[in-house]
Amino acid sequence: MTASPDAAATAAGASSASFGPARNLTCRACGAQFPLGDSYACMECFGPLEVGYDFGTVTHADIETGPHSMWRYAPLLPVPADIATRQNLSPGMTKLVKADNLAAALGMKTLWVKDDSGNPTHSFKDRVVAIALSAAQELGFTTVGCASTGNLAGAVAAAAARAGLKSCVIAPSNLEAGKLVTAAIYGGTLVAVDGNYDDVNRLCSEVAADMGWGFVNVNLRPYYGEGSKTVGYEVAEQLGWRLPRQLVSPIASGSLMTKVDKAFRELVSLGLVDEAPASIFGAQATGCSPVSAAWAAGHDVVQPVRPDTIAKSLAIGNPADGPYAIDVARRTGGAIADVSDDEIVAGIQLLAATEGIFAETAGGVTVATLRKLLEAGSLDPDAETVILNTGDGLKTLDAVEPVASPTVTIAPRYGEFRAFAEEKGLR
Amino acid sequence: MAAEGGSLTEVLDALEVAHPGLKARVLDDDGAIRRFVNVYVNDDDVRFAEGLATATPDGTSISIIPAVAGG
Repeated sequence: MTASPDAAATAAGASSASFGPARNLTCRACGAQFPLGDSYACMECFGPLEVGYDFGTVTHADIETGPHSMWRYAPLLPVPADIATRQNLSPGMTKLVKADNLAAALGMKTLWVKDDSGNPTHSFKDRVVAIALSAAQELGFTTVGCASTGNLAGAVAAAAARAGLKSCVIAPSNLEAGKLVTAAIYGGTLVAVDGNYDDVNRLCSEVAADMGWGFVNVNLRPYYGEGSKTVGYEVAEQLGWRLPRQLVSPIASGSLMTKVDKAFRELVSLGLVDEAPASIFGAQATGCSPVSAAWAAGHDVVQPVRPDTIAKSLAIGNPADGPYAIDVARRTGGAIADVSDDEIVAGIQLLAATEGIFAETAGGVTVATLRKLLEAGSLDPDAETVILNTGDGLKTLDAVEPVASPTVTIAPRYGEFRAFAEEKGLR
Repeated sequence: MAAEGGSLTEVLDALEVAHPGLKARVLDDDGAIRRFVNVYVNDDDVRFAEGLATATPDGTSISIIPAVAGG
């Protein structure tokens, strides 16, 4: 037999590149440090590498006088200081919506929805891609790619088009039509794979080592992940520079949840918010709930599963940051739970009917999990809470079509309308 | 790299002889596969098979890939 360990990392020169306050790549597992480059796994233990910084002093004024996009946080990100003037999609500064109607429906006091469907390609993925493409350009890559559950493919293709880079994005072939169309329209290469996300992810790990491309969530992953921090920064700034007592995040790979926590801790250590408890809760679909299952069983190690859920954007059966998501929930006093496909659809309907926000299936997972955690008594209804809506319902119409159709179809005649109105008691 | 062995454990032992230090990068101090490493025997993640005891008959291909997140 033959064994072939795939190249874990190669060292691209980063001497002339600019990564702002970033100083090195540090292994999250063993702490070994490496120069800034396109490495993503520790040469010592295969652990994930994370960007290490020297922030110096950053003030509220530094941020508040910045652009109305995630680039206002450039002093806290691995990007050049002039990033806002470069060709990119300027994501971020999405709305933090005070959700009084939803709060009332759930018996809560103060609830906010961080609505990241307002990003340029309608999901939070624009944030991570913006950082990864900056790193790709700094490191000299001319083609970028990704392994995607849908939203990421569109985000990479769009950002590459704007930046003048070539793109090759790879996703499961069974995605929602809306996800495939919005990935293909930007003119790059879209490779649909007959397999699930975990198959695609593995394929990309092998392709990235071979083709010399910048894969945003493989060899550019340390930079990519940092984009998720901006969700946490924005929530704190939009609340008036303080941390929410509770926050609910969907879990796919587990990266978003851990980076929001990282953002909160950075803001505290920089003196930009007062230290205060901020419990972080994770939400999964029951049909792909390896992290929730590990949480319920009290395990630190996540046993992979084969996904089967309508929440395809969260359908990662082998989530690389799962153990860290569990660490975050445990350390912050949060919890992790999962909800059925029917509950997900009901969650989408509830958010739409109470707040006028049409979330994709991942948002339905988050709303439904919020409800479940409240019912279980794990989440305090009287404490200020933020939930993250990471994507747009228009991309996952298939999931709600059975429950969202015209109330009635009539001929264009007044009499018919009157008859319908009387039957329904409309007035 | 080529190596002999009827199971994943035996193959890793054989590789360790040829390339000292390799095993420690794949397995943790307790001898389990590190949580950031995915090992595939042919196309299957060994966590869905028998783990380190997964059989590796002649001609089997083994891939060792660091776990990466995304979405």
